[in-house]
Amino acid sequence: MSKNWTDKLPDLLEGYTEAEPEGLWDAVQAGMPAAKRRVAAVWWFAGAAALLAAAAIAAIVILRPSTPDTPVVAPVVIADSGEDELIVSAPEELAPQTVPSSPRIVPAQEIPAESEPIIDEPEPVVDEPIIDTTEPVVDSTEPVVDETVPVDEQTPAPVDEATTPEPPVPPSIIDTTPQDTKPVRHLPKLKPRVQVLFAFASQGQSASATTTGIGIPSNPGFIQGMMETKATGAAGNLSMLGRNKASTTDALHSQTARLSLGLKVDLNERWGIQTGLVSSTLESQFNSTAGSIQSTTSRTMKYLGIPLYGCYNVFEQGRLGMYLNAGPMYEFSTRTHTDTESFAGGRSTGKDSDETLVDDSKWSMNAGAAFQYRIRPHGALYIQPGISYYFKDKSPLETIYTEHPASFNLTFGYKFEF
Amino acid sequence: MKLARSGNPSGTRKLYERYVGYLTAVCSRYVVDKDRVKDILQEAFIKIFKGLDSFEYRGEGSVKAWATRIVVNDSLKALKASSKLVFTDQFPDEPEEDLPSLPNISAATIQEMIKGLPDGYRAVFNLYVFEKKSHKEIASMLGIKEDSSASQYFRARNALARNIKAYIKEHE
Repeated sequence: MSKNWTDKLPDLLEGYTEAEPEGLWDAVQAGMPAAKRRVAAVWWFAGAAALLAAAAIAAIVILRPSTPDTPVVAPVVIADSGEDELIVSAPEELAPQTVPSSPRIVPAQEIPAESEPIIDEPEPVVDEPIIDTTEPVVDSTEPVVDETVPVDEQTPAPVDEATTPEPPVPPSIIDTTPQDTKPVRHLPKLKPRVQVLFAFASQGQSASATTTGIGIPSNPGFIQGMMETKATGAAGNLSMLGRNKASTTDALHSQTARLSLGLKVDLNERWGIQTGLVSSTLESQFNSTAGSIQSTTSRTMKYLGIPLYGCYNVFEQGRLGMYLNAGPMYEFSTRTHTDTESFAGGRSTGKDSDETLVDDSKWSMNAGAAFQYRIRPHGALYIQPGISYYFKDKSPLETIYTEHPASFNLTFGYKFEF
Repeated sequence: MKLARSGNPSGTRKLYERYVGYLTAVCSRYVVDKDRVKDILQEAFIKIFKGLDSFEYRGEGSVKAWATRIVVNDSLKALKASSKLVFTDQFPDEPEEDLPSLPNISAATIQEMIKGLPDGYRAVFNLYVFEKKSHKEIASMLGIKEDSSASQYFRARNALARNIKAYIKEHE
């Protein structure tokens, strides 16, 4: 009797070959550029988003001086500073349209006490006193109003009520020429806004359980995780020990902190676009039990997302403001870490860790309402409740995105504006 | 090999043609389903082509051994994920089958007999016989006890011996 007949099998089968599966080469070829195409698609998407943002900014810059859409409502205050020049006081935001090529800023204190404020005769636009003819203006932040000598009493010309509401007197007086005293137009203030925000998604957790007659159930997420685990690892699949025993796998999914860096550009007073980068961390834990055998797999996946949202500014009053945003986001996995530990009879039989990236990508639609509170001239805190919906795809991976495709989230952020 | 490492399409094609038949046979010893064999080989060849840059070439045999290792590992992963693998650490009461020597039997016939073994038997048998792994190594690879590996091998060997005997008897 020989026990070594199996030793001859390797030699017997050493040169043995089988016909390759039909279409294998085509599949290999398709698989190779597919990965490249995926990466390329991400860069194309990022590039397109950047181009879109750049185009929007360029459009703002180009269109701003030529497409005024808001009639003037701010005051233009004119004072005589000498023989041939007028002193016009105007709000700062009117300066680009009203200030001549070489404006001269004249401190209020320099105005001769004797000089009477006059109105451009053809189109007087002043309806209230602006210059104290007896004392120089000292506090430029307060309306410069001479209660005792109203301008309209000194100037017989009629006052255009429609074009001259009652504004505060601006802080400076600008030297200009008479032709610049025509009604001016006030353009919307367009501000590209860079946002840095820290967010915590409140998707919560989900649990699922699957039971099969024998072995580990075919839990897609678990399978994917296990397939990416090293075959040589000490912690193997529990199903191998679970012969003839029903096994159950409980999956628990969650999302931890979501970190975002965004760029928001206002296209006009109401509408804007927002893009950026969003980093998310998804965690899953799979607990499998087959009799006295247990296995625990913890998987952490990092995703990078590129959103493209449309924004609508509802209001901005004083320190408070609110805007809505909505749009799609493309996310792709950037890192996968898997820890697996097996137990037999309550004792650990081995651990295994793996860093192999599990390829995955997701499309989602997102919407939110942001409430902001300005704490600095160029900075504001904001909070944004929102909702996300992740579209189903063919990926077998099981995550919080697949288990809870629709979820609420809450974003806290700080926004720099410039 | 140089052409393949440089990314030349004809080089990768030649490398593929040189090993695809052998690797298909190796994969089929672990995984029976043809569609899954195709999927495994597809992923394996992609890994091979992508890994050529970092592969340290030490002759023809090193390429074959490296490619085989990738296919075997991917096959095991697929088996583990399929939930078909079942093991026991209890040795059967059956006696060891007596097989004097390996008879004059074709490689294709032996291959088919191995494919006919249950998944659990087959995985351990292939690792022990063809990959020259010890039961300790197999236990580590599959996450099972050494006794389980030995038990699976015993059962697989007995089952295969019975099949060979039956085949010989049938063709005498």
